[in-house]
Amino acid sequence: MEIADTVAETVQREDRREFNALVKRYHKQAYNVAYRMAGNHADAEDLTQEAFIRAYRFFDQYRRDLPFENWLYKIMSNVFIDMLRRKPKAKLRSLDEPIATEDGETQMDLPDPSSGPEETVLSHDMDRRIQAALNTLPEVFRLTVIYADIEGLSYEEIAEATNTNIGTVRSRLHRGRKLLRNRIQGLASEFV
Amino acid sequence: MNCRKVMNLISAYIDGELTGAEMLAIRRHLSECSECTREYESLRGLKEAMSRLRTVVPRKDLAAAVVAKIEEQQFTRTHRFGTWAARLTFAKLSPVTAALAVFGAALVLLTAGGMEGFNPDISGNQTAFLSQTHQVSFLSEISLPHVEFQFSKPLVVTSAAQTSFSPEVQFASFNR
Repeated sequence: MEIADTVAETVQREDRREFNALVKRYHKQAYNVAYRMAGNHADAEDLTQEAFIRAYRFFDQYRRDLPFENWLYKIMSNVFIDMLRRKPKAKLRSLDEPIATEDGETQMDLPDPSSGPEETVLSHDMDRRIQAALNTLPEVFRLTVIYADIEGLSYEEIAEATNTNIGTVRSRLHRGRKLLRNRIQGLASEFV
Repeated sequence: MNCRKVMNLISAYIDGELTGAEMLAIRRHLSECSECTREYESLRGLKEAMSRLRTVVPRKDLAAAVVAKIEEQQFTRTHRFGTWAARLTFAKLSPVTAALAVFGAALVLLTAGGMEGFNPDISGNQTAFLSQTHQVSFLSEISLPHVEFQFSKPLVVTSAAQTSFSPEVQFASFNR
């Protein structure tokens, strides 16, 4: 029994160490995707945390020959859908809601350091408009567009992440992009 | 390829997710159709804008917070299940193995449940004991006053005059 205990503890400790390294490596990427899904920092943080916690719970099912982020996206998609079902729409936070910090309330969005001052304003404005439009998309379209256009996943990877087939991904992506374009009408002419 | 078909495939064309023949057919169509080309440029521009969205940065201690949360939940779960065996069964085994383990446990419980009525100490109230026993039909042909058999328990022979059993009678032999 003592040997079994020791083995179990060692395996658990190794799993934990490996998983902590994955959290450290992928949390920023996961958070960025979560933000684009949720549309605000507070929900993005909840979504990221819950996705990692669920990933750890099922870590024994993770196939090491596949990219970890793709597996995490699959979990995150489920967490996101669950979150939307649990949370009444009225309680969804505004895109512009400030975040409480030790120094008071602040907006956490950081300007793109590679852009000049003028570009930063334009980019920020465009960013907010696209995000606002994304927030209005039905969730399956939103997820598909984010995975394809922000994360650059292939249709096959998106199908895996959203638990569907490639044909559905193709259809959702096409309809999602057209919906998104219609929601940001004025914006389209700026970037074409 | 007509305009309707091209419009339906334009997103997949932008993503390079079509067969070579389809890609060529659409490219050829776009070179001749301004309306489809406008649609193509519009959706391609949207895709580019999406890919240029800035990366949103989390608070600095998010990774540490995630790790701490997992540690906290792990601690709670360890206490909930108690032993390594339970953790192994519920967290580390494959679903099939876990199902087999649960089935095995259920089988053991059911078997143990079948022995609930068995009480080797039958020297007490005979009437109560007899009320829980079943007569074996083939033994009625033997000229014994009462032959009682209870499930898989030892064969027990009783006489009408007897009010109690000795251990030898219970487990070993017939008694007239």
